[in-house]
Amino acid sequence: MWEARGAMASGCYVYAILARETRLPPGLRGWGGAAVSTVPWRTLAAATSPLQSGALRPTEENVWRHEAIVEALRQQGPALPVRFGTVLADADAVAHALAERYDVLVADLARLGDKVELGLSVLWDPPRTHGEEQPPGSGVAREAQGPGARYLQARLAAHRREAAVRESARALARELDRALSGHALERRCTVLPTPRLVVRAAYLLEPGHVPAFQDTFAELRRAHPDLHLLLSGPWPPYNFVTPPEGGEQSALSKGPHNAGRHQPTESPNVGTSSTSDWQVMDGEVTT
Amino acid sequence: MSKALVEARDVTLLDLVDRAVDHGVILAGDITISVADVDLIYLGLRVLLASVERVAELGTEHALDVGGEGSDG
Repeated sequence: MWEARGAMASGCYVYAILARETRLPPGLRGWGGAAVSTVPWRTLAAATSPLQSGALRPTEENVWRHEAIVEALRQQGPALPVRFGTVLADADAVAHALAERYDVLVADLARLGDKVELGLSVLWDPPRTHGEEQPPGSGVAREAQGPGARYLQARLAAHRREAAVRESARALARELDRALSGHALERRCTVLPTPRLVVRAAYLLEPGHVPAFQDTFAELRRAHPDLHLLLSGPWPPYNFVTPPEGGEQSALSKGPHNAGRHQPTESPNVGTSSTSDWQVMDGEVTT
Repeated sequence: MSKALVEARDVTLLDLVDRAVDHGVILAGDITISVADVDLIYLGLRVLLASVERVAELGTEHALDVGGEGSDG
């Protein structure tokens, strides 16, 4: 799957999966100005355009262009967003790919095709904790300890501090989720992807419920002047499509250093360990 | 650009990249962006995460190309 760049002189770039009967917006153009067209398979169709260079840099401009085309397609009817950078050899390969995951794609299109997701980001000043306080008389005890014992005590104190911060973060995530999840069909949450980014979450909504969600968000913002709450979207439901069987890793986990954000030891944080995980809140299964 | 605008732009870009590049339908047999570019965009995301943190304090202008400055070949 990870063939060398340049192996293909041209290819078929895929933007979205639609119902077969969906009409494309007139004049919709993809990469290099090429017309967007569909490749059908049974009740589904893939919206594609030829990609001559065979490789596309993930620049800000290109990712926005992909997004704009996905959103234009979703104006026409239910559609699933395909991951940026998806290029297949030709129309036959696209049809084959639709056939291979047909049942899952049909079910996802019915579940998600007309839904949107909103992104929640929350910044905080990490709370001060008391895990590092020494017990009474410990000054004398420390004098008598060897360097090994002092090292282990320091590690233990650091571990307690981290655990306390994570517990505060989880409690905050749960509190925000209690207020917001009533508007949502599904949600996903990452706690502490970085030390200051305490919560990043995605909520799947009926489009008609977006204003109510935004109102609740505004109330939360007023109720938490100490936090920095940010909302983005509505987006196509990228976060809620069914991953392939066998749990293919995300694009960002596939790098040469296996540099995934879901891997705590490699997570893009600047201090504490194990700051990144996908967690299921309040027992809801979201994957 | 005001602090609020910088912040909204950064968070929106972070959310877009997180969604469109790291999520969405994965088709079997696809050739996605190259390994080198994934590495670059991953580095870009690190910068972006850090920048989202920073804007809350600084609110100053800063440039970001999530594709990095790598080769285009």
